[in-house]
Amino acid sequence: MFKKKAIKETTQAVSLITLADRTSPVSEQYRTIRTNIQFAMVDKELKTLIVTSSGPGEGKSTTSANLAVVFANSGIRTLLVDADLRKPTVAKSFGLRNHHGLSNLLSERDAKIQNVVQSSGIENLTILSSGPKPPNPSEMLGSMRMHAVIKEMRDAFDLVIFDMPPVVAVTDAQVVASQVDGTIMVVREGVSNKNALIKAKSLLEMVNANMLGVVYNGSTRNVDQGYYYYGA
Amino acid sequence: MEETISLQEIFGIIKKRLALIITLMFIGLGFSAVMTFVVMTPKFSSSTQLIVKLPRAAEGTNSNVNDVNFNLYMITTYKDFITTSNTLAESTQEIVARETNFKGSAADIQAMLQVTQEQNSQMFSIKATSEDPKIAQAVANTAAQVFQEQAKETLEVDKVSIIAPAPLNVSPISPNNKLNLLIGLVLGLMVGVGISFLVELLDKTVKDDKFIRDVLGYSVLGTVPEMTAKELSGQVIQKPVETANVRNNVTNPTPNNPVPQTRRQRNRV
Repeated sequence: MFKKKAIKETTQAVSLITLADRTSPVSEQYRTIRTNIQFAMVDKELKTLIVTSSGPGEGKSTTSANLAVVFANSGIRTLLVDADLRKPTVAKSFGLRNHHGLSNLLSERDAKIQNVVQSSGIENLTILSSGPKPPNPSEMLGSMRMHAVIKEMRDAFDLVIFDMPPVVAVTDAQVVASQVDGTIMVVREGVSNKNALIKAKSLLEMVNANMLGVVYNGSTRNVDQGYYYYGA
Repeated sequence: MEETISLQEIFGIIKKRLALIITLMFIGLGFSAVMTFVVMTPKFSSSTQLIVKLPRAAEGTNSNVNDVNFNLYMITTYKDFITTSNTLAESTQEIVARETNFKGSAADIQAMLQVTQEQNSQMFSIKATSEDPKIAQAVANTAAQVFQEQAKETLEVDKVSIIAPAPLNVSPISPNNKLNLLIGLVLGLMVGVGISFLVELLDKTVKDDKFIRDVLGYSVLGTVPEMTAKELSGQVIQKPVETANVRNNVTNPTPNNPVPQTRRQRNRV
């Protein structure tokens, strides 16, 4: 008979609360966000969405990764794409290598999605890391090849989540926002600047981005006080 | 847009900046302690009590209320005489300089002297304040004696009686240690609270989701609370990572299996 080849077991530290503790109030909030996203476009097909913010350090990568996990947990075949070609984090979060990824797909005409995606180890969740850092990320993301890649992703998966760089800092998010079904903005309490958010809004409106809503991150107020009691 | 601040928000700001406020309170306390115990020189005072009688009315005439009122009225004159008379100050200065190690001028003597009177009383006190309790005592007693001598010839006052000579007071009248420390503490608190509100006013970051709804006009999909240390520390998960090259081991997507899955390498037994 067949015997499985020994698989090397390693412990990976990942910032995925939805995986580490599914019963925590934080995980519950991500599930609430998932439900609200599904209701946001109940009459339209939502297969591709981007997660962005006005500035750095607001929790885009954490939000996109945790959302990808909760969508996958609900049986939706999800692809998490690290579209932050400048400061990629997704591969590291899931303990994967970043030798090949989105940049390869965009630069190599004959590259196939199935050759660059990686298994996350979570059912229904596939990862496409950023790949080697290119010299011209904005041009690559705005290319015709990107259009074709997004179309290919739509056909292969139920949901594609793009982890994008900040809107105000670079044009990457603007470029991709015009090509996807929905945009989610991450706002962090005490970090997100009001003026930067207003600017981000106008930049996204310029490309007719379909704003689904905002994920309010790092709240110091008790958002789910009753949850603890309910679970007791 | 008009911004309002609730009582809850005020307490929230204070709670948020409590460390800063407490720090500044202690800085204020420390500053006032240094000022009180190191910088400020303690001052001592000593008072001598006197009573003055005007010349008696002529024989056969009755002393009436007007005389008493005039007596009281004259005490104001005595006050001015003691505090402004150069001759009194000079005489006092000479005597005090002889008796103690006082090296001040007549003007310094005038600055040290103060006259107080109880309301509607013919008694009054000469109070002297100095950095040396012995000098304060000497100035008060000497000034009373000099006034006693000079009042007769200058003011034609019949009798000046020294009721109680000035004692030696070794406990300082200033600085008031407790009051100064309290002032330092309160000032520190006020500065701390002031800075806290100023920082909050100048802080242009988002404080609550009200800004998202009211200004940006976006809906809030969800509010993710700040993760606790326990939640952050619990984020290590056991996950098998395949060492084989994943890129070369994926199946093509099919309608039944649209998600490319990693093909596990198997060996025949």
